[in-house]
Formats: sequence, C-alpha cells, structure tokens
Amino acid sequence: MNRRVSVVLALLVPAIAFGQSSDPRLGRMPAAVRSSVAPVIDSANLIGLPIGPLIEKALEGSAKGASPDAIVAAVRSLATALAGARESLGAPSTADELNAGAVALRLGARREDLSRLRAARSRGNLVVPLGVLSDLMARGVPTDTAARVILALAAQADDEYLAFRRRVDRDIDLGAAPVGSVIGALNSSGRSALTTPGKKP
Amino acid sequence: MFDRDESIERVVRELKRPVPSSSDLEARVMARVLAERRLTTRRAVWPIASVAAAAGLAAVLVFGAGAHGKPVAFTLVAPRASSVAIVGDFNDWNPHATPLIRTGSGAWEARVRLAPGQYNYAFVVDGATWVPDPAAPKNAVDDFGSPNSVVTVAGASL
Repeated sequence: MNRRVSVVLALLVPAIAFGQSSDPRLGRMPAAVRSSVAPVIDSANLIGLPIGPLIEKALEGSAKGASPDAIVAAVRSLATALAGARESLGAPSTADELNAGAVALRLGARREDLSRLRAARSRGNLVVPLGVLSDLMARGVPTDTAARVILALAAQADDEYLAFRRRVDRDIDLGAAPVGSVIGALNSSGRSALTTPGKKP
Repeated sequence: MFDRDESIERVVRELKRPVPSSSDLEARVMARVLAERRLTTRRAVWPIASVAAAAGLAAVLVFGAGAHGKPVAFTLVAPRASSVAIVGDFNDWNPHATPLIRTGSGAWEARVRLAPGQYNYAFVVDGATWVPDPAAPKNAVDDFGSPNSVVTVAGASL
C-alpha cells in the first residue's frame, strides 16, 4: 500500500480509532466541533504530520461559526494536502514549509513542482517561495507559469521573491494581465525563465 | 496644411484608448500613498502591499527584525467602526486577543511580532463582521465562506 493511500485511509478512520488530542487549544472549540475534529488531528499526528496547521484551521472555522461538518471537511482537506506536501518536499521539511506547500497544492500546484523547488533550493527554507507561488496563482497567473518563475528565482534570497511579488501585484493592480505582469517583473530583474526552449510561456 | 501621419494617428488613438482598471483603483492608489507616508516616518523596510477596498483601507508594514520575530503593523481604516480586532494563525483566531487601537482619521492599528512564516488572518469589525485585509494578498483557499488575507514574513536568506 503506498503512502498516499495509507494517509487517506488514516484520515478517514472513524473517531473511535484514536484517543482524543490533548492540545489545550482544542478546548476553545465547542464540544461538537472538538469531538469531530479531534480524531482527524489524532490521525494526522499518528502519521507524523504537523498538527499545528490543522488545529489552526479548526479554530478558524470555529471562530467563523462554521458547522462541525464544514470544519471537519476543511481539516481533512488540509491534512491530505499536508501529506502530499510532505511527499513532495521530503520528510525533513519544517511544519511551516509543509503548510505552505499544502496551501500551494490546494491552489493547484503540482507535486513535481514542489519537488523541483526543493531540489533547486535544498539549503534554503521554502516558506517564502511557496508562499509567493500561491500568491501568484491566486492572482491569476497560470500554475505552470507561476511554478517556472518560482524555480527560476530559486537561487535568490527571500527578499527577492517578495520584491518580485510586489512588482507583479503592482502591475496587476494597474490593469496588466497576470502573465504579462510576470514577464515584466522577470525582465526587470534580468531573467527570462518563460522563454525556455520548447516551452511556451 | 499638414498631411496626417498614420503612425501618429495610431499613437493618438492608443493614447486615447480607455485603460481598463478595477472599480476600486482610486481607493487602492490612496492606500499606497498612505502606506508610503508611513514608510517615511517609521523606519519601515518592507511594505507588503498597498491597496484598499470600499469597506476600508488597510496596510501591512514590516519593520526591522527583532529578537523574537519581526514586528508587523496591521492597519485598517474603518471610520464608522466601534471596535476592530485582528484574528489569525498567530493568535489562535481569538477575536479578543489582539484588538486594534484607533489612531485617528478612522484608522485602526495593531502591531504583532511574527516569526518567519506564512500566516492567514482577517479583521473582525464590531465583533461580528469579518473583513479581509484589502492591503494584503488573499488566500484563495476559502474553506468557510469568509476569505483570509496572507502575510508572509521572510526569514534567513540563502
């Protein structure tokens, strides 16, 4: 059984399978929410996923008055994405990296893009590059384009990523198309990742 | 008289062509102006963004690094609000944990120390209305029908 299947099965196991999470933050949730999400969080903990983001997701839903079913669905979805991020980024990844990777995956990023980014930036933290990847996709930049840009900047410092994103944001706010904004920002930084031979921007 | 140069005509037509822009452009421009003004007076080193929305106007600035994370200032302009709080991953989504303080001209502000990472957050106006930060990127994953904003705090560089 491969890891992905085992993760999904673990997350779908009914509440009776595991003990209640002892994280005190769960105490801030209504009892109905707590009893619904605790098994999912325990399951994630059992397979070594970071539970902090899952608890935060449950707290967010609780604060927003979402139904227990909606909260459980969101927590499960995030747990599945965290597992995918761990597969893609590798086990030594930090919880913040996995969380950023999970957000990117939920927005449509491909696992292989995350793996390439890890390989290209093996010594650096990936939170900011993954965050910028998510931001670009959220602003309408096609996934393939956004991923190639992030990889093209892999040797750069976090501040370069953030400066790049600001340039793209500015151009989009001024009415430019998302892809055009990315090309313009790349040109202004002296790069041309979107002109790779054999690939269309 | 003069012959009409077709290339000049084309340029003039292009210049006269309306430029498409979003309806909140003016508000976003004013947000950027206000953000830039703050930058010049507070030793800010990184403005995350500078836009605004009809519900209010907000700006997020990151200042110099501290020992336990970077101080991040969150600002929302909501002149008619009686209270504003910020909730997010950094305070367990507790609407009572981080109230904003009215600073004048309808602006509300709070400063939070954040370790490097990525955080979801939103404002809660008058204890009931959830407002994403118009000055920051949105998290496109919206699980509960109320979108969050995202702040990314850079850590050590390569």
